Amino acid sequence: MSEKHFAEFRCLVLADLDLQKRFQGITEREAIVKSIIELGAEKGLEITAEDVAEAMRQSRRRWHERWI
Amino acid sequence: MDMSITIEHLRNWIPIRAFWEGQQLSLDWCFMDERRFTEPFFDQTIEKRFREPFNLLFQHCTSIGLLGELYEKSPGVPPSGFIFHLSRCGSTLVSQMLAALSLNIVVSEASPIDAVLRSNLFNAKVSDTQRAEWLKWIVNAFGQQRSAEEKHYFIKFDSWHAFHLDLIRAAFPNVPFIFLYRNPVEIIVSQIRQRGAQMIPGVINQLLPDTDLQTIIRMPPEEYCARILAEICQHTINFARTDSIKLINYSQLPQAVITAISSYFGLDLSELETEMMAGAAQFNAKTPQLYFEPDATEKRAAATDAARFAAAKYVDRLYQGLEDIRLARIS
Repeated sequence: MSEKHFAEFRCLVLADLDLQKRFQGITEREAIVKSIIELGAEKGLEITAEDVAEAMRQSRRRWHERWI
Repeated sequence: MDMSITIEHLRNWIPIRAFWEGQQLSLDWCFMDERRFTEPFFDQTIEKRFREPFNLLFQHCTSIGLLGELYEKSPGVPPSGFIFHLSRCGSTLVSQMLAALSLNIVVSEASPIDAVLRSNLFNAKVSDTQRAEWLKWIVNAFGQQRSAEEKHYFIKFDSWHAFHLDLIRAAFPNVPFIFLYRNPVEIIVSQIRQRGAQMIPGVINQLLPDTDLQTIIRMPPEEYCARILAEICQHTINFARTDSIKLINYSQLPQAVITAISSYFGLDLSELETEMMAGAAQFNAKTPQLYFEPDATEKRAAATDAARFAAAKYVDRLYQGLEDIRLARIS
C-alpha cells in the first residue's frame, strides 16, 4: 500500500515546481528520505524509508536495462 | 505515465531513455538543470546526475509525442555538426575538444538517439519518415539552450549509425557531417582488448545482414569485428559518393580538430578558444586523468595474426577506399 503512496507522492512532486526545487536542494540520501516521509505524512500518504529505497533501486534498474 | 505533463514542466529536463510500451515509444526524463554535457559519453553525464537522490526518485515519463510539441514550440540550438566514426579512432577526442568550450553543446552517443534510429527494428510499423521526424524531435530536445552562452551544437553518433546516414541526411539536409576512421587492424586490436557494444554478438541486432546469430556466435572475434567495420566503411563510402561528408583519418588528429574540423563546422575560434581546445587534446579523451598519446605504432605491434588476417580479408580494401575519397578531395 505504501508503495502506491510513494507513486502518488511522486506525481505530486512532478506536477509542482516549488516542491521539486525543495527536493532538488537535498543532496544527502538520508535527508531526502526523511523529508519525503514527513511531507508525505502531511499529505496523508504513508511512506516508509524502504519505499524510497525501493524506488531508487527500480530507477537504477530501469536505467541499466536501457540496452535490453 | 502522467498525461498532464506539458513542455513547461520539462524545462531543463532531458530524455534519458526511450522504450516501447505496447505500440508507443515512451521516454524517461532526468532533471539536467543548467549543467553541460562535459563527460566523454552521454551515459556518464546521466550517471553523474544520478548521484543526486532527486534524480533517481523523480523522473518524468512521457510519450515521444511531447517531443514533437517541444520541437514546434521550443526550438533549440540548431545542430552545427554531426560526428560519425568507425570506433576507436579519435571521435571522443574530437567531441571532448569541442566540449572544452562552453559555447558548445556536445552530446556523445546518447542512447535515446539510438533508440529512435533503430525503432523500426522493434516495431515494423515505424516508417522511415516517422524515424526521421522523431530524430529531428530528439535532436531538438538535447539542443535546448540551458545557458545564454551556448551557440553551437554537436552530436557524436554511435559507430553503427553510419548504417542510417541517408535517413539522418534526409532529416538534416544542411548539417555538416564528418566521419573519422583509422587503420582497421588498430581498431580490431583495441576492440579485442575491450569490446564496444556493437562488437559483442547479439547486443546490437542486424549489423551483419544475411548472417544469422548462430553463425555470428561461432565466428572468431577478429572476423566479427572486421566484418562490422567493413559494413560501416561500405555504408560510408556509398554515402560519400553523393554527399560532402568530410573524411578525417586518425593520423590527422588532434590538429585537424582546431583546423579542418572547426572550419568545416563553422566555428570561428579565438586564440583563447584554440588554446582551450588544444588543452583538452593533451588528455586521454575517455580517461581524462591520463595524458593522450597517439598509439598507432603500439596497436600495430600488438596485432595478432588473426587480427591482421581479418583486417586484410574484410576491411583494408574499404579503408583504402575511404583514403582515396579523402585524398581526392584534398587535391
